[in-house]
Amino acid sequence: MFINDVQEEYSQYVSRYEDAPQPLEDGSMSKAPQSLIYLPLEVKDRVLGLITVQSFEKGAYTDRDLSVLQSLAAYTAVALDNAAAYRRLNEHEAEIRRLFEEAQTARAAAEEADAAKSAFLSTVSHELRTPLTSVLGFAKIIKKRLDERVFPLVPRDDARVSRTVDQVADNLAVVVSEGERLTKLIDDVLDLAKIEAGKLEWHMEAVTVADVLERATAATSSLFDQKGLTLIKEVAPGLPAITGDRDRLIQVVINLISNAVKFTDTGAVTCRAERRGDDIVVSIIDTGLGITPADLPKVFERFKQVGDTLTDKPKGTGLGLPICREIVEHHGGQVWAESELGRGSTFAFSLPIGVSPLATTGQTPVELASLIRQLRDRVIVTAPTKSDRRARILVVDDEANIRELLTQEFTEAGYQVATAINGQEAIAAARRDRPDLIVLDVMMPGMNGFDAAAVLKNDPETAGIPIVILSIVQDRERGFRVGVDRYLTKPIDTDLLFREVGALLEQRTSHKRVLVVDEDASTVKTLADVLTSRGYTVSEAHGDDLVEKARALRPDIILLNSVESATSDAVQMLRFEKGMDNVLFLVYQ
Amino acid sequence: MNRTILIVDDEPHLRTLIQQTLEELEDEGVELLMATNGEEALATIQSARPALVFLDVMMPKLSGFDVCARAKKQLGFDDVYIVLLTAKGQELDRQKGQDAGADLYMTKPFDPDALLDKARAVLGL
Repeated sequence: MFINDVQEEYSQYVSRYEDAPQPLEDGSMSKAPQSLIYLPLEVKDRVLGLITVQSFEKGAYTDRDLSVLQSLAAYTAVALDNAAAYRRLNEHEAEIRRLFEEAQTARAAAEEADAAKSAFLSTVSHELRTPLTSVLGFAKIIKKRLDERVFPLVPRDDARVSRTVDQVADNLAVVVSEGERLTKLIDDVLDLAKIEAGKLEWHMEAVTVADVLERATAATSSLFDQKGLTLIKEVAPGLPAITGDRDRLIQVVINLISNAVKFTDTGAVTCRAERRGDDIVVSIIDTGLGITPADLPKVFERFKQVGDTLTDKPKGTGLGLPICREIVEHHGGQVWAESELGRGSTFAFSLPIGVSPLATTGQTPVELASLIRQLRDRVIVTAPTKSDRRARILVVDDEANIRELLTQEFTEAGYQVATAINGQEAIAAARRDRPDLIVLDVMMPGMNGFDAAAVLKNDPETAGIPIVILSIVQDRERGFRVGVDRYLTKPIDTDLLFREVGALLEQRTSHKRVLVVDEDASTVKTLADVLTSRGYTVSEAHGDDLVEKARALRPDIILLNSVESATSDAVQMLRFEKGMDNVLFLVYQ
Repeated sequence: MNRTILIVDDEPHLRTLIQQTLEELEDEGVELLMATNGEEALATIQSARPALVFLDVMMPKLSGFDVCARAKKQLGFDDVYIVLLTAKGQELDRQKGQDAGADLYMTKPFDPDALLDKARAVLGL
């Protein structure tokens, strides 16, 4: 409200203007003001306060005073709003810190438990293997000595003695084979425990399934000879390589082939590899006993042996298939079984083509999820420009013919155009319509372009909108200081303007830039993967190149591993650097 | 030609097992020496300079890794063929064994025949 003659103008609204002096709190009498300006401090449809200027004289204020006050009001409103936002941010940060601490405590406890478990397993393995070494070793020596030196001297003409010799030989063979089974069991338990604890080292490389099958069938060929079974290998030509741990995939196939042979007495075992959609599927098909429908779902469970129901005694460790499942799932694939009782079984697994394996399984720091959540909550993500929607440009200029010219040019080029004639209108329009880009003149009545840009760039809601200054005023430095994205001068170079506008709009479709600072490459990779999948553009820096990278990349967020002395100076420097005022520094541990 | 084999293990059963495994080599002029801990092993390696050592890893005080590293790196006995025997089938240990300069790494329980074959191969029998 702008009134330069109160008595006169109030009478338009109220029937009788009370000119009587009002007593003030200190008992004195006030004079009634004759001129006044009321300016609301508005942010996003909310009024935060009011600036009031009053004078006892009539006609005390000019349009220029009003314009100055309007700029002041706009700045003040944004400043107040930012202060409130900053307070919320601080509260939020305290909350994050608390969450981090909780996560850290939890992780420390988990790591301790994990270390204890690993140590226990290692000890158990050692303690079990030591006596087993004696049992198996001596059994083998006894068997050898008996075969070579004792049995030849025993007269076999007595049937009882002969039978005893055979029994002793058989019994020793049982001791040896069961000792070997026990050894395998210990290995399997350790393997499984290590896979589950994420302790197993995976050697991921390009692997061809043909090679895996070749190795596995070579390793199992003696089993086929022993039982007189035929091995049929059907590998589809031209299968692409996948990323995998070669030795462990061979282990899976050996396991499946051994099982197939174990439960097949006549016929053949077929090893097939083919492409199904985006997967390579390997099937091991036997013509053996088959599995009852009731048993089928149990075969991948631990210590549930199909042999329980189908053969006279279990032969394996009961952990082979669960290990296969863990290995295949680690590669992002699946394993399954199909069977018809009496007609054989098919054990198959899939390996995805071109999908990077879950290399980070078990290594992702516990607090990462919460970190991501916090990031998502805190960063004002400007909606990306949709390609199917024409970009909207706000043209701000007080000269009608320039507005008209730009409107025509931009419309011609396929953009949607809105216009505003001064700073206030521009701010209002930007807040209301969220254009994809603003072309802004500097010299305008009321609020000028620099002030408008400063307000827009200081308001979190509009800070993400790129601003191109288009002006006869050559004050590039001031423009960049208030945060505009490009500074072009009149007369208008349309080609250049279009190029810059295009580039900026393109950039808007890219995402918030995050600079991750950590010495540990695997942490950086994990963070980068997760953040990229959440739509951030991630760059990395190490302590020494942080300042340089930050200057070059102008990230929106800098994520730091617990500030070490090496980086803390850099962070201090960056915090006070021009243009870095809006960078969000987040520290994790 | 040096035909001495040193057997190092703190478990008496395992020393006996390895000794019995290798005893047929004694007919071919091989001498079997025993050590029950790391320090004793290192002293014997220094004094007798065996051609082959079967060395247990998990021993109190001086571990097999330590004995191996000292023999190979400090004493510079690269011609002593060292087989580490371990009950921990862990990849990390395999790496440690390599770092210590071991020539071979065998996991317990080992097959006595494999040990015998290895001894014959190293001694050229």
